[in-house]
Amino acid sequence: MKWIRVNMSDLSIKVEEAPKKYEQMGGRWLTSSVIADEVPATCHPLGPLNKVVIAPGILSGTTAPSSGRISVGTKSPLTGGIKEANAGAKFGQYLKRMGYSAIIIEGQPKDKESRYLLSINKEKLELVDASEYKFMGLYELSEKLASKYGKDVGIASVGPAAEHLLAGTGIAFNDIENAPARYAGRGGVGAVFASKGLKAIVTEAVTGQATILNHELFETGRKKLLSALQEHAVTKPKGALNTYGTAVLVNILNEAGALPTRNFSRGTFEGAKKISGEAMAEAAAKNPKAGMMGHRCHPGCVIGCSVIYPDAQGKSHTSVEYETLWAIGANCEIDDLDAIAQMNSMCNDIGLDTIEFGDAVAVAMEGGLLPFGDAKGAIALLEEVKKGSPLGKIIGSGCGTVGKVFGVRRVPAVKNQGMPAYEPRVIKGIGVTYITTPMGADHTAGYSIAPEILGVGGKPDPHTNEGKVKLSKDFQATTCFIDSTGCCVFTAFAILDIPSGFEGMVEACNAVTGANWTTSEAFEIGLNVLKMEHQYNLSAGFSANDDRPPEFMKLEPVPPHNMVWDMADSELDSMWK
Amino acid sequence: MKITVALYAGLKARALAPQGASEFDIDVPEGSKIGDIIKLLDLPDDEVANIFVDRSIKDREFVVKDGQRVAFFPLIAGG
Repeated sequence: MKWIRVNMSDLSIKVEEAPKKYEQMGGRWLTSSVIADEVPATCHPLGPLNKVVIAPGILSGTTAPSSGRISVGTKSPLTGGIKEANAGAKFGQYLKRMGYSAIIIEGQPKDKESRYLLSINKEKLELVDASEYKFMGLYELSEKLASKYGKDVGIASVGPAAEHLLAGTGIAFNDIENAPARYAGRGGVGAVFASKGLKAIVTEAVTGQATILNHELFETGRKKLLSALQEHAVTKPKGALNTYGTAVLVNILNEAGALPTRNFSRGTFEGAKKISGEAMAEAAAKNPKAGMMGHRCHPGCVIGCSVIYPDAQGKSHTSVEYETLWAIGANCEIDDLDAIAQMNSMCNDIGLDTIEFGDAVAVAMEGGLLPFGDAKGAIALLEEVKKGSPLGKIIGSGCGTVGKVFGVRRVPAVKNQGMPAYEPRVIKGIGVTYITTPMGADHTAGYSIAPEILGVGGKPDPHTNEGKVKLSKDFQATTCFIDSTGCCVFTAFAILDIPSGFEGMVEACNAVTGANWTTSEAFEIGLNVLKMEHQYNLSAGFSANDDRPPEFMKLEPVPPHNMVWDMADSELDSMWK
Repeated sequence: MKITVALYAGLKARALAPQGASEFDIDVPEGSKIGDIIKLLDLPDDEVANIFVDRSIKDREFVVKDGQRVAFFPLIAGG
């Protein structure tokens, strides 16, 4: 296995043969292992000792379906713990096809004002001066880089908010049409990337297939996974994700009384239908020139959950997702879909995580900075973030910081990371995931919503605590493995109900790595990754006291179910026993 | 008795619903079960995957009461 090591202190680039222990790793398994091995747990996240590890999944660059995810690992400036955030993009597929399993970025340039671009192609790796792109918005940057390096190149880049070193920023990967819309969004990975003096990485477009050791086994596995994805009602062509996008969830969470509204003070939102997947599908049907459902984030995705939303002026916005519609919409009581789409594009442009931004604005609304429902005010705050004004820096630092500055007690965060779009007092399993995942509040870390609300992979009562630690742990461990394969986490919907799909995924991984894992062993790999990440956080100074919900969730019943968080701390602690 | 019906994610096009409406009131006999309402609306039974009554998950055997809100979904997911 080869990886690229870039030292930003002396601007050196080395291609190294990775030590044998990493040979079969990819994605999150690889990023978290390198961070655990090479980054001191107590280092400052924005200092020279932290590193950014960018790793495509095991199957990325192959023809395995929906396998183009790329992981970014670092020590998070938002949580202070280990972080993995991933996105679906051609960038990782190109990297893997060139034979690189990771890029490790370390050190820091002495001149904080300097900006560099890392160019990667088959013949040459080089760091070039990028001062002309300093504080440039990412839509403009993507266009400039595509005209300079080629229209099909892969781009990883950070926006002005990340250059201001704000903890609510991500790394943008360009999509098939070159929009900087595929985000490894959470936990401030963008700020760490920017702290290295990097503005962007550009990879040459590479066709073909990444190295496969056993083609026959790969084909067997690929077909089994593909068949599960094409058969399942959620992931199949013209299925729910393909037709309505991820925002098909808005109405069901609202009907479940678990759509966090007005900064987590209610579970239903009057304007839910206006910001739903159904509303976007209607708009896209009316204006097919500017809108599209079933858009794909990377070549080879067979699900197509991405959406290009056309606003009333005919402007296209890629990709307006459920989490964004909830964070900036219901959570801020904004029901203007066009305004949310505009803010989504602004976040893409300046490099901000839409979940953390929505949580931050809702807390600011609670603190009296602006009224709930004030879309224009929220847009003005984004302008402040872009400028890097003191107020903008506060908003861009996430909901925890905003809560402290404005004296707000109702801050929906765990490990200082803002909660996503599911009310944990009502849906207990996702609450366990938010609270215990080493990532800070993160729904993708263990998406128990699938069985608890959607009836996928079981149907446990969302309102009860019983069995939820095990449910979350099983989801978290399995997700760690899926995040290591490069497969989209949405493949889980199909393989939860169709076990041959998971067998196929593992067989395809065996064909690429030369391993001989069973599905149980794949689960164990995931569990060990999870434990390693937890151990890293303990070394960074975390304790069981960090695996706790925000206090208000124990004290304030949330209507309409009027439930509080009522799981014993000792039960949460059983996650790690 | 009168209940409110809400149909999502394509189900409105598959039901005997007032034209274009995804949410409407209907009269149903006392003692009606969710399964009876699915038949009354001519919803494709095998496509109705998730049912909520007044914000809580229910199954086809649940007996609805006057004034309740019943929401129907096919199998969906996202995140």
